[in-house]
Amino acid sequence: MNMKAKLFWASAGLLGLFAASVTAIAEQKSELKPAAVLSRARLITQPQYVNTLRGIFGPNVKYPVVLAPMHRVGGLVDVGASAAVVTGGALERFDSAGRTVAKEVLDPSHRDYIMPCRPASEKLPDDACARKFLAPVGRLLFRRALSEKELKAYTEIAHAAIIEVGDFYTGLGGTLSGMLVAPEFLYVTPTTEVVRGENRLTARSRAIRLSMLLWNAYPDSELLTAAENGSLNTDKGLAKQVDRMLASPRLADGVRNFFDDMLVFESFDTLTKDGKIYPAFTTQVTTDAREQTLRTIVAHLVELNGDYRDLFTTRKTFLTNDLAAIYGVAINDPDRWAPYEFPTDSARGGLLTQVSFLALYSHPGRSSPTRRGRAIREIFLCQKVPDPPPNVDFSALERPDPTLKTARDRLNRHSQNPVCAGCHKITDPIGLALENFDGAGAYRTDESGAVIDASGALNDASFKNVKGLEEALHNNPRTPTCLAERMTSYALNRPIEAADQDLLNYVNTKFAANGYRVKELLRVIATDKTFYAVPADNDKPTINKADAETVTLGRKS
Amino acid sequence: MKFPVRAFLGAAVVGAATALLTLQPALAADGKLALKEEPRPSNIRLQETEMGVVYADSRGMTLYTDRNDPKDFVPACTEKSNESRGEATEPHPDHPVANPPNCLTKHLPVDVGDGKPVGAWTVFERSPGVKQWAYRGHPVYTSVKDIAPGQSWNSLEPGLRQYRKRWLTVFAPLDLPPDIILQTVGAARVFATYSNHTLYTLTQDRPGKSTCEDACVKKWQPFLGGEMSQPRGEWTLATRADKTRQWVFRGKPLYTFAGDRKNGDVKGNNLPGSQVAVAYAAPTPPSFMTIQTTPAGDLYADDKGKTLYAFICPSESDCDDVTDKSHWWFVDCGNSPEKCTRQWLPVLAAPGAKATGNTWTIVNMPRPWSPVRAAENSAEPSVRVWAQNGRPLFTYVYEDRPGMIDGMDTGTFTGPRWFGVMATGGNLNAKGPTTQAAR
Amino acid sequence: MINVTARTSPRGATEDRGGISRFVKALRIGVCAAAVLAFVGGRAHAETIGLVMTSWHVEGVFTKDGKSECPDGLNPTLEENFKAQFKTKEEQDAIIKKYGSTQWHYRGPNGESDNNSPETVFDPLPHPEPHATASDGFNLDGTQDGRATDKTCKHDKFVNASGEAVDNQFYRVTGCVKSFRPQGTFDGFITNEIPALMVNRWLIEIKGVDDRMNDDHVDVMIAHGLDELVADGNNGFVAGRSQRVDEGSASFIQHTTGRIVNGVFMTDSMPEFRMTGSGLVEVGERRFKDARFKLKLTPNGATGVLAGYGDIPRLWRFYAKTIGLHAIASTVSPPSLYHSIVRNADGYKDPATGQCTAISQVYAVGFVNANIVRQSSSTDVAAAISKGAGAVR
Repeated sequence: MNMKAKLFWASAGLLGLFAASVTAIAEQKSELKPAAVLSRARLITQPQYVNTLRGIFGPNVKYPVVLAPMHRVGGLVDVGASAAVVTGGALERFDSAGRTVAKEVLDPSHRDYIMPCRPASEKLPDDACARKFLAPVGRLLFRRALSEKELKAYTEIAHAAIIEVGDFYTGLGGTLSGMLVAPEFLYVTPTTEVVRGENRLTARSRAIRLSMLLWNAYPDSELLTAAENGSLNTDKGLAKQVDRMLASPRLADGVRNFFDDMLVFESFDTLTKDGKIYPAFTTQVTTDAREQTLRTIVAHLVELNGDYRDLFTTRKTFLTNDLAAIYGVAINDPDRWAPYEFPTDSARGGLLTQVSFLALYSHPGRSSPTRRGRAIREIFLCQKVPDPPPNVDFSALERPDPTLKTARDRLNRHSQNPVCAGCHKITDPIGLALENFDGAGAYRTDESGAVIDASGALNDASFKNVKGLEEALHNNPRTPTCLAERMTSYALNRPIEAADQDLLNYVNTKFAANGYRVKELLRVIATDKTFYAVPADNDKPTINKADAETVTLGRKS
Repeated sequence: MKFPVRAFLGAAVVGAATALLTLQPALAADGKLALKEEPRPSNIRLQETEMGVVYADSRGMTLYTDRNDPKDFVPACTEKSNESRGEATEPHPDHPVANPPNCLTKHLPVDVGDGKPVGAWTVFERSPGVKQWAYRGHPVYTSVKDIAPGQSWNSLEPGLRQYRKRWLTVFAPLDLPPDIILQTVGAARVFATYSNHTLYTLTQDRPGKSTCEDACVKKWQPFLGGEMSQPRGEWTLATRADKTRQWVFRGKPLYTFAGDRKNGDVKGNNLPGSQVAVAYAAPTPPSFMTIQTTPAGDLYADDKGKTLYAFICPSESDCDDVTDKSHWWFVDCGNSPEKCTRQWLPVLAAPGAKATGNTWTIVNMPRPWSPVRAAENSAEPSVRVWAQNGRPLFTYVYEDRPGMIDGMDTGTFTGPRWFGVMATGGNLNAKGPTTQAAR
Repeated sequence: MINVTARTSPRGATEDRGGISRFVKALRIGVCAAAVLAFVGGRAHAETIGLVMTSWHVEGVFTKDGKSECPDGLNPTLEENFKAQFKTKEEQDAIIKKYGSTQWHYRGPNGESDNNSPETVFDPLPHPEPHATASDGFNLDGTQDGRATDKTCKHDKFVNASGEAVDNQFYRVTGCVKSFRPQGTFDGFITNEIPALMVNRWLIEIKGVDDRMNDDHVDVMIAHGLDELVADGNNGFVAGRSQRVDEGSASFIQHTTGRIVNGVFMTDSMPEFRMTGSGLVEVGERRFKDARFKLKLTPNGATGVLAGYGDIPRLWRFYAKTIGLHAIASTVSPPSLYHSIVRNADGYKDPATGQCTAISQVYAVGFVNANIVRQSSSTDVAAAISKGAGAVR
């Protein structure tokens, strides 16, 4: 081949490559636009704290049960974490938790299997050994390698502490406890960079966001390494990590946390039932009901990789003996969580007929079609239902006419008030389909001697019984889109706003194309660069590496 | 190892660990597990027993601490303490005793001698000039109930759960990761997670490498350490496909079983391809012994299924040790040795039968039966009786079929009782595990 | 179209039957099938009722202050009897010194234990027996007036609420014994031990129930259970939990038959019925001859009685190691109880001596509903697990 031909083919090749990359970029670019919203700092939640430290130090440490209280924002507590403030009381809890963890990690029963080295003397400083511990721990706690300056500073703190207390491990533990209340640990502050004209999260922040989404924990070492060596910035490297994390049992942590949040399960902490009316609804049932639903979800979405919508119809679940008493069924192995499938002709099917939903959205001593209907709208359909006006008259429900035997009768009477009818029209036709389940979630055919009519409607779909409601929710287009919206908000750690519409459209298209499989939804979100994008007009100052070193390094022990 | 003739006052009902014979000791066939490096005084030594390595005095006699100590360095066992509350320590007129027994008669404080405190071993001054070793704040004792090195009298403690084991054997601590403990299952000790989930190994795994993924992990959950977890000795970690790190012992990755829910559950044992991670296998009982499941739990029985009983006294009573009085043995059978021998029938050793270790032995018991008193001379009529921890074993004549508990708890309020030794922790017989409620 | 209401379970609600239109359709087919089955004598829609025991007391009249049924007062204690037997301090000290009992037990002629050899000791103080005549239970000996027969000894009968003659001689022994009375030490311990100790977990499964009000034949299994009782929010126990049968304690799985009359379930007479039990934390076996249960079925369980003869030596072995062994705490004097039992024995007459060797007993028992579960083999359990156990987290 002569030179001219070579040049031609080389140019063509280059042009082709260029065209391909432009096309590739164009394809991505044409589907999505980064949202015009800010990325935010977020405070670590209690499950993230525990999952992270357990991943670092192993399961046998006294991890804290309660940390800072959170608020629900945009339907999710996890999003509320981005608006959380550390009050004095909360800081005390973090401090106390950190001291406990640090002391235990370095006590004689733990340290031989956690320390990568032994000090030359247990009574004197050993900076080399201290560094060997602090460097990897710091990297995992702060989600980035400590700079030499930071490492030196922490080593010096440890050195001084060891001299003061006369014990290597106590001094080192004090340093560790300081790191556990450092803002770098407690707060995740996204850092950004501009690459090829695009504002995006740094690889490190990318790793953090990915890990919080999939595992509800800070990144493990493998993920941090992928960030540090740049592979996380490539499509292939990102996909590899996403695949690894989706295939891991630790995915269950992330999925559980998301659904525990979306389903407002912290309400279980304050749930009570009237012991005379529902004597079988013990505190154990409260705990088990929450766990049953989460197990059902994890089994269906993670282990089976099933269609999300089938969660509203599936007859497969897990039961304990205490739950079985409420469900009125026998289980073969009452010692443990027994897999259980309701028979085909059972009224039970899907999350709406599980004790968790039925009992949470009821009163202490009776069912509540209104609460249940509202919960279905708000949780599963992402539709806001207004609060009742302050001066509403509840007497028809609380001191009912004895001729009004069923909840339907009482609500019909209550809804004769035009002030009330508007909202109840939105909620009651849905909730009344669940009236065959009392306030504890047990099945019944009648109330006060009157046969229960469980017919209802969800928008245009009307049905004769709860099976119809299950199908209606399964088939409602809002059901999967609401989940996708919640999950996107959870992933981005901020409320969804109008500017996110394109993103949501994209996500919903993919969700549908993938058979409404949540693992695939997570994959779509996690592998798309929009997840890591930051708007060009993001005026939040970035914190670069140099700045990070000047952040306060915690206290001496 | 042959032991001197030993007869106890009374016989203990002993549950057989026949089921535990099927616990294949997958990991600890030689029983030698690495001990934690822990300094000890020069006159405290290590001693092997069938239950594991214990701390012992200079003669090799097993050391014990007292669970009843109200707090560190305050002993519950003193001259004044006598848990039988008087009855069984009253002297019998035919056998006057100058000083009635008390706790210290049977549980001998271990003298510091020339030793120097070190590590977890400190000196406790019982009284001016009387210095006793203490381990982790608890004064340590030997027991007159052990008559030779390697014995540990409170293994397979008889009685139901309401009788707590007061005396704790001072085992030399194993060098274990913080996430792992030893759990007692019957007479075996197995590895378990810190939260008491029994650990298992799978035959499908390769050395140091888990092959359990996907559907397998639903049933066998890998027991994970943390990213900072360090390998040490025979404890290593295997990196799994998702880069989490799984604990491994002697090359065998460790798992919990999804079907276990309570402490002591071993429901995954003997399922195809799985084995409990045994640290110390149970001492092997004589082959004729069986196990009977009863509403009171699993009990040892003879080859006909007749429950086996032993006669046990509160630990410091003048009641069931060599040199104790026989009085209490027959006082509840109508104050007549003849009447007692018609009610309680010794489990005779077949001619030529041999003991298999320290725990299950054969003793010479004089006629009429006196489980307490050794045959005084070779001319005295005696019989060879199977014994558990030195206590002769009996059946109860009124039990007319297998698996009864008619004899259980018979005795007196302040102490001497007929007990069965429980095969606690699950039925691990050849049929495979059956679910059991905690008792 | 026959209007058939859905069947109800003991808890009063159907077990999740489906939508009405499907139900009606199935019903049309089902009614035809049922008619055919009924024609050929089959049992369509037979129900199973499962029960787990929650309470155990001696049956009889126990008023709050005891004055009406125990006009002679309640029983003297062991200490009182001891001091009546050995009247002076010197005598008391001497006997204690001689036989070494600070618990006053060793007062037989040769120092025998008054608890383990009660036949050797005769308490000087009288043992009060109740004057009441009402008791639930069964007519075990078949007579209306308690006359002596070939097999039974003369005794007074009690009368139940239906006017039937009842044998309950054990109530005569215990009716004025404080410890056996409601809130007495022994009774109180047992009340707590029923849920707390697994020896007390007893199950009844009633199969083939066509009609909870009247059914002339049901099959009954009684067995030891393995699962706990859980307190509910209403001072009872949660009904409807699963209770596994203790398959390992196979000799305690017992079968009989029975019937239901006006909502009251009764077993036929069982020649021998065995169960384990406890008292003051000691455990043992109870054995009944000619035993019967009679239980009124309630929405959440059942209440009624267990009756039968207790062989005296076996009965005494149980009570000696429970109440007798703890005689001081339970304020009883064992020989008084024992001799009252012998005196009041009414069944299984020894032809040689004419002495009755067994005594009629009636215990008031309570149950809640349970789902009785038979254990599958371990292989089946493993297979079930592999279908999807969920993580142990």
